[in-house]
Amino acid sequence: MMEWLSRTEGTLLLWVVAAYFVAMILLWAQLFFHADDSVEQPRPWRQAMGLSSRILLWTGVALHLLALTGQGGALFTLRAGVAGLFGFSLILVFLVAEARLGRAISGAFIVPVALIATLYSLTETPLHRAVPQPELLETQWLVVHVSMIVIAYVALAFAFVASLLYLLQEGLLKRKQLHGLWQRLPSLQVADTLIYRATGFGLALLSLGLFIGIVWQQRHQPDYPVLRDPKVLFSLLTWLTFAVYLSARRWLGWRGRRTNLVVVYGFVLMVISFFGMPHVIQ
Amino acid sequence: MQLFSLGLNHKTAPVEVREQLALSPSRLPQALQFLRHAHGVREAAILSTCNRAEIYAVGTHEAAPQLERFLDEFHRVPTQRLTQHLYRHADADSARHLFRVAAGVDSLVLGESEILGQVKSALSSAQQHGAMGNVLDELFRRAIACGKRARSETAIGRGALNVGSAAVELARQIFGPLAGHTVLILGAGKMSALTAQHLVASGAHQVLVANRTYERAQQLARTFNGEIESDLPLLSGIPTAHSEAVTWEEFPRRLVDADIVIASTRAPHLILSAETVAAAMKARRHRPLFLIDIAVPRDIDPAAHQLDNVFLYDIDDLQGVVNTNLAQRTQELSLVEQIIESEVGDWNKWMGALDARPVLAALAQHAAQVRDTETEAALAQLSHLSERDQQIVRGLARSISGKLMHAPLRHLRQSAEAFPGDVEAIHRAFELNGGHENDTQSTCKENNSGDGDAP
Repeated sequence: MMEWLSRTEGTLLLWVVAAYFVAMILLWAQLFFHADDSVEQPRPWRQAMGLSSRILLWTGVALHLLALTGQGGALFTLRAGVAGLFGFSLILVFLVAEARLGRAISGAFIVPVALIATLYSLTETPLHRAVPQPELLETQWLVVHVSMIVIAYVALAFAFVASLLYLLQEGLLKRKQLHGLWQRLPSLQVADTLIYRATGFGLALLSLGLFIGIVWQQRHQPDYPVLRDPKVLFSLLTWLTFAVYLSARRWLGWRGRRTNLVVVYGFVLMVISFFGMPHVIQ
Repeated sequence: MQLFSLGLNHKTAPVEVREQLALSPSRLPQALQFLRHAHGVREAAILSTCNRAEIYAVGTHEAAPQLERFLDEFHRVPTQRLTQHLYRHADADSARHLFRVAAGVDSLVLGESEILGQVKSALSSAQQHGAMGNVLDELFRRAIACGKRARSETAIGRGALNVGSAAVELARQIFGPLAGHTVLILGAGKMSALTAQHLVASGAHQVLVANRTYERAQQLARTFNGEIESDLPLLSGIPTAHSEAVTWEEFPRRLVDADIVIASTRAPHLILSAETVAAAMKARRHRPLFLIDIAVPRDIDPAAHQLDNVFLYDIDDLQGVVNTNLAQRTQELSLVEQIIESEVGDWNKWMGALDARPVLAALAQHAAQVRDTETEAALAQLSHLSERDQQIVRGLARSISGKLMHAPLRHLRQSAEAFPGDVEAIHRAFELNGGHENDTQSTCKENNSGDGDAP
């Protein structure tokens, strides 16, 4: 079974990408063709689009899980593996908590993020052939470190999407452009609360994850110059940005457009630290 | 059996004419009795609102002129004077008209939902006074269902169409659910009170009232408390809110507590400067503030809108929301017309089957009767047959009659609307007893008990 999974992993991931992609197109179509979640009884074709995007996403997530189980240790040691894990978790969490911000509108932003991550994970398939360095796996701490970071990333991705929705809605309300999209966007207060909570949760896990990562690294290679590793530095910068948002929101009472822009910057830094910055060690 | 309707509405008749045909609830029973006993009329219903007066009747072809006689004799309005304002429909057109009315397509305010309640009460009062029969009952139920369908499947009933509801719509986009939010009224006028009522009805739990003369503020605050009766039409039936009168000097400080501010003073100059709002925002720790300025000339400095987390909407902005919503409703018209047409199609099928149903029953009964009489007569002469053999003979008879009647019964059921002449032909060919007109009443009853929508 595992062998078969390993062999078919690349094909499987292609199917996953296809499912996510079609679901994303359907979600966008739903938005553009006046998909209105609040009309009690959606029109048949609209309902069909909603249902098929949901089925596609669930199928995609199930196939993705199969593909991930075939990857074994690479899931936690290679960047592509972690990206796949992130894409999978993001879709799964979206499917479980989809109603919070409005399904179509949040899905239209969440699914592309997950899709990009999954596409990236394809760049290094088949992952099972990339034999992980055995000594890197010798401790469970790596798995804990990566899992925590991935969950933090998922929470922060939700905060990012909620920020985008907030900025969109705020812009429409300020410009008094009150037609089309605005009724499908979440209210400012709902989006704001979600940003705050998701960032709080994400930052807590990010702190723990980073801490475990750095400590583990130090114990593993005591002479490794952690603070000269650009990835570590960028991760700390990301952490700092979210920490600034959270403290300003919590203690200084900052709110609104500029505050939520900080979350967007934070997410961009996070993406850069993940994709753009190689570990010196590698 | 035909369906007729006669009426006028706000499009065809000015209010001077409409008021002549208006029926007070106390005269409605008399009117229904009058119609019910008119020659040729079997069923009648009256839909009377401030924008329309319509009569629906089911009966023979003689019923149509009776409707005009009703206007003449009951309302004492000569028909000649009304002719140019009246519209007359029959059968499917009558049904279509009522369906359009129920869907809100024919209303002054497109898609408004009050009319649905009025159609329901027309149904129930006609039922109450014994004027309703199977056909009109079915028609009105279908009209109500059609109205509900139009509003749930299309956006014809969506979006605020007055300034007060537009304010609620906007407030919801900023705050989400309004529960737990506070409204501050600046200037205890009628407009601001009405707008605040919409917000309270949508969940806002506290109302602060500030006015230059403190007594008026106190008075309005007490109406929101429910302490004194309001002379405003909307306030009855609206949940009360905590309310508090605020002196004019104090109101800038109370901006900290308020989430939504409604300004409508008669002041010739600005009463709320952007600086005051900015200071309040700091004290509020930048929680969003929704300012509604419905005064002309304006009360709030337009520059306040530039502040972060402050959203200032004036009367033109709110009117803009209303206009956009109206345009969106108009876009839904073609979809609603589709729904109406499909409902009219179903109605025609039902009406077609109505004529066939008694013939169907009579034919089936006729076949069963012939079968049983002949079988039992034969069995009486075959007394030597065992019980089992007798059963076989009875089975044979059932099977022959069943197979013979299968095709004509099916034809009647399926094509009654397409070939109404066939119903008549079968009726004559089998020499069925009892005119099918007469049987309508008794045989249709069972078909009416299904979709319960009774008010």
